[in-house]
Order: sequence, then structure tokens, then C-alpha cells
Amino acid sequence: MQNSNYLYNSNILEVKNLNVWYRAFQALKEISLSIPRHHVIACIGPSGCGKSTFLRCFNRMNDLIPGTRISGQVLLDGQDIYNSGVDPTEIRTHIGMVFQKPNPFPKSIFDNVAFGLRINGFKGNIKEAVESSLRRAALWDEVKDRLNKSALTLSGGQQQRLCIARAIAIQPAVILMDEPCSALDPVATLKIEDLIAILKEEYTIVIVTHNIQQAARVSDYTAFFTMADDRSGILVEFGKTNEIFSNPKDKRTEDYITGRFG
Amino acid sequence: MIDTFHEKLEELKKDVIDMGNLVSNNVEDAINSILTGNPELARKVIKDDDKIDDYNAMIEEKCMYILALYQPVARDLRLIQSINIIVIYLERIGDISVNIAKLTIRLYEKDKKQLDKDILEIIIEMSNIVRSILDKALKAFSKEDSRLALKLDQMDSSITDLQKALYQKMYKTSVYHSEDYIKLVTNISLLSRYLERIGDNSVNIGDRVLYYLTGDFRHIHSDV
Ligand SMILES: Nc1ncnc2c1ncn2[C@@H]1O[C@H](COP(=O)(O)OP(=O)(O)OP(=O)(O)O)[C@@H](O)[C@H]1O
Ligand SMILES: [Mg+2]
Repeated sequence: MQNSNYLYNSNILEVKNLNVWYRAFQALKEISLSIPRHHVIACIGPSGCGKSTFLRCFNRMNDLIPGTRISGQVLLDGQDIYNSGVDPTEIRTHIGMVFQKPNPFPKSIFDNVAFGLRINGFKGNIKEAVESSLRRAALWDEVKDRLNKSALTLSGGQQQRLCIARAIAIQPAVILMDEPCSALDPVATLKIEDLIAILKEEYTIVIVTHNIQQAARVSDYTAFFTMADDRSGILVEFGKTNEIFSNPKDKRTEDYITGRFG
Repeated sequence: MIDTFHEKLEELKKDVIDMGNLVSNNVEDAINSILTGNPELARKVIKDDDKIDDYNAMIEEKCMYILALYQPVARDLRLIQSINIIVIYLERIGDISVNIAKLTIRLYEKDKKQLDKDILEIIIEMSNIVRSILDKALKAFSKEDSRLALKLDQMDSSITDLQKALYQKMYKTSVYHSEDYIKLVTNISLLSRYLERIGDNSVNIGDRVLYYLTGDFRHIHSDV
């Protein structure tokens, strides 16, 4: 079997010597790290250090930005997603994304979740698939009686869970989340955090957050990024979250998480 | 930049240093009270221990508020956690000083008893070492000096040797068998036990300082 060794590889994603440029500006420099399957990985670091850029490398969203250039490798189950034969839209069915501001389509709650299934040519029972996704996103009980109402009638926290339901409907292996709670109140935030803990049983989650307590609460591993002197983003430290938050190895990490940064 | 959080941490550290100085003074006074047979000084030790207890409660309360309001991490978290435990050791050392002070009162309230010169010398030697360990542990904390904290264990080992020598002296001289002498000897062996405990607690403080400074849990597991 061609891919037999990836089954034994506990890392679902591997980043090797990744560099990203926006025209002449290098936004990420020589990033290497491995992301273990069914874990939550938090990316933290000061504004502008390249966290969102890093996240967008995993589903080739940077390809959509003119002037972007990438070198290095991003391996999904051992296969480089930047290989010339790879179709970026195919990648996005394996790697879903949830954004900072909930961005449901101006359609019904049902259609928001069904949309991804339909365009991916889903052959099964759509109703069941929508229900199961809404259940897994811990939203079902709140919306089951109003599935045909517009998604825009939901609260911000509900909209965000709807976007999570939409992302998981197509059964991705990885879910990327870019500051998913920054527009939510503490209760809605806690719901998303609880949801993340449940989702990691089935998915691998990479989350960018500015709230370092949230990173500490939800993640198993933490990656700390910062800016080098030329303002390009570098990875300072990657390790188990409980170690990063009790005994970081690098002084820059410590200064940042203890609020001594800048 | 105004940084109330780190100002509060500095303030907390100063409280621990102040508490440490009170404890150190009380250890010194307690030992002096028994060596010079001064019940007056012993009573002052007992009275001053209340201040130490107050510091303990006040510091614990401040730690709670800092944890609740700022959720410190990394070095800051290790500092709070270590302080919480260091003040328990300090409070215990305070209590041991009170016990020594009570020995003084028991032995010297009515009349003066003469301690054998050899025994006295060993006690003085033990006291000096124990006080030095405590003061070095406190200094390691205030100066954030892990090299100093690492030395304490070694110093503590000489206490055991001195204790053995002390017991031998006491067995030799107890041929007199008078009731008074047996009472004296019993109290002196208690005193040596108290001094040893002060040494142990001080070494523990040093271990917490090491954990705070290095983040290495091995320092707080016993006998590494
Ligand atoms: N489309 C783009 N074109 C040019 N430069 C960009 C583009 N997107 C991001 N950058 C630059 O790349 C660097 C990294 O940006 P990125 O958005 O990845 O940072 P971030 O860590 O996510 O910041 P924040 O925490 O503020 O969201 C910044 O200097 C930013 O200005
Ligand atoms: Mg960003």
C-alpha cells in the first residue's frame, strides 16, 4: 500500500521550512512544526506576527491573495498540499475553517449547513447529515424548530456554532479557527470552548487566539509566534500547553504570556 | 506603562521578605532566650508570633486575589504558588520558635540551671547553622539566587552529625541521675529536635525558591 506509513504517523499535519511572502515582505520565516492528530493546537503571539497567515497556509487560502509566494512544505497525512497536482478546493474539503466574525450565508439555517454538502456532491440523506452536524456543533436543540428561518436571526454565538456545523458537515479532518470567540460574550465563548473539547475526539483543531487564557484552557499544544527584527513572523516555541504555561523554555514566550511584552 | 499586576507581585514579594525577617528575628530571640535563660525574651517571642500569623493570612489572601483577577502564568504563576507554600513553612518555623520559647520558660522561670559547657557549645553550633540556612533561604528568595538555594541541603546534613554528638555528650553526663538533670536533658533533646525542624523547613523554602526560579519540579520532590 502506497500510503501505509501515514497510518502509523500520529501527526496529521507537518510543516517543514515554511516561508510566506506578501510581495517583497516576508510574513513567515522558516516555520517547522508537527501537529498531532485529534489534538487542539493553539497559535498565540502579538498582532501581525503571522498567525492568520500561518493558518491560511493549511487550506491554501493564501493562494487567493495576489502577490503571495510560499516555499517549504505542508504535509497533510504525508502528502504535500502544495504539490503541483493538488487541487486547492479538494484540500478545503479536508480542512475546514471558522473565522473571527461569524459569517453565515443569508440563507436559512438548514441551507447554511446543507450548502457545503450539496456543492461537494453529497449523495446521502441531507436532512440527517444536517441534523448530525448541528448536533455535533451543540446547536440542534436551539434551532430544530426554526430550521427554515434565516441564519441571520441567530445570536452571534449561535451563528458561530452554525459556522462550525457548516465546517464539520463536509467531514473535514482538520478545523482551522481564527479567533473564533473574539466577537462573542463569555457564555457563548465557553460554549465554543466546550465544543472544541468535544470536537477534538473526531477532528484536529488549529486555533488562533489572542486570549492566552483561552489558549491555555482549550489546547493541548501551543505554538508561540513573534516578529523578528525585520518584522517577519517566526515560531519561537512549540510544546505541550501545560509546559508552555507553567515553564516556557524561551524568555520571549515567558515575556509574552506573562504580559511583559512591549 | 502602568503595570498594576507586576506591581502587585513585587508588593507580595516584599510582604514575604518582611514576614521572613520577622520569623528570622523570632528564631534568633528564641534561641537567645534559651541560651541566656531569659524568660522575658521568650515571652516576647510568643507575643511576636501573632504578627507572623497575621502576615501568613494576609499573604494567602493576596495570592487568592491575584489568582482570581489576573490568572498568572509561567514564572508569575510559579511565584504565587511558591509563595503560598513558603509562607506555610515560615509560619511553621514561627511556631517552632514559640516551642523553644516555651522550653525557656519551663526551664528558667523558677531558677537558673547550669548547662554543661560542651553541650552548650554544640547547641550554639547547631543554632548558628540553622539560622544561617534560614537566612540563606530567605536571601535566595529575595535575590532570586538559585545557586545559593542549591547550597542549603548540604548545610543541613551537618545538623544530623551535631545531633549525634549532642546525644553522646548527654548520655555520658547523665550519670548524675538527678531529677532536675533528667528534666534538663529531656528539654535539651527537644530543643535539638526543634532546631533540626527549623533547618528542614528552611531547606524546603529553598526548594520552593528553586522551583520558582527554574520551573523544574524535581526540586520539590524529596531527596533528589
Ligand atoms: N494580504 C496581505 N497583503 C500584504 N500583507 C499582508 C496581507 N495579510 C497580512 N499581511 C501582513 O503580514 C503580516 C502578518 O499578518 P497576519 O494577519 O498573518 O498576522 P496575525 O498574527 O494574524 O495578526 P492579528 O493578531 O492582528 O490577527 C502583517 O505584517 C500583515 O500586515
Ligand atoms: Mg490574525
